Amino acid sequence: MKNCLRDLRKARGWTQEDLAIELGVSRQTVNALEAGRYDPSLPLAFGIARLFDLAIEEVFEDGLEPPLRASRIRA
Amino acid sequence: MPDRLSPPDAARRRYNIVHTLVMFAFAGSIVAVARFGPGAAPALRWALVALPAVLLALAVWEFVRMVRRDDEMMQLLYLRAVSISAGAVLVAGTIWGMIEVLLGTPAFPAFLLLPAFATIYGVVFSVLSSRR
Repeated sequence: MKNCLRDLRKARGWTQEDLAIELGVSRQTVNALEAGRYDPSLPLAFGIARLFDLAIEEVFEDGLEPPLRASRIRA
Repeated sequence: MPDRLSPPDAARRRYNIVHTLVMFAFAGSIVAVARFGPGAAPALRWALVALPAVLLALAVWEFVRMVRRDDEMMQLLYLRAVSISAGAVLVAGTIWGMIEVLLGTPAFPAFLLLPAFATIYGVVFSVLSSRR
């Protein structure tokens, strides 16, 4: 599943370690999420969306929805 | 090393330190058993044998504690690696046992089961995590 987690993180000027601390996961997990090599559970996906004040479908793309508009990414 | 660590990363760093210390203590206890065990009184011999057993139990307990404190993706990796390694050791041990019974080959020393599992686990975990 594609996502725009890396763009969202960089827009806030965070490192992967910063995001890992915010989400309460390991840096390795943040790296796998950003690379699209791991699909998070629903609770983690909700946590990510809530952290960036977005809806889940704005962060994660299942191939059926239009991609996130860059203007929604807030610093 | 970053100044701040997320709880899973901090738990893993703590585990690595504790596990290394426990493994050094385990190696020392094995040397002590080999050196002082044979000529010792029965009570002392039991105590010497109990020491590495307790240290192994401590190592397993620390591993479980670390897995419980890690995040969902890492837990998935640990459980996959444990499952594959345990399966490999069980199959290899069973095949060895069959050959032992049917062909009379030397018995496999059972105390090597956990080290064999740990070795396979290390390889499997490295392969699985490199794909994440």
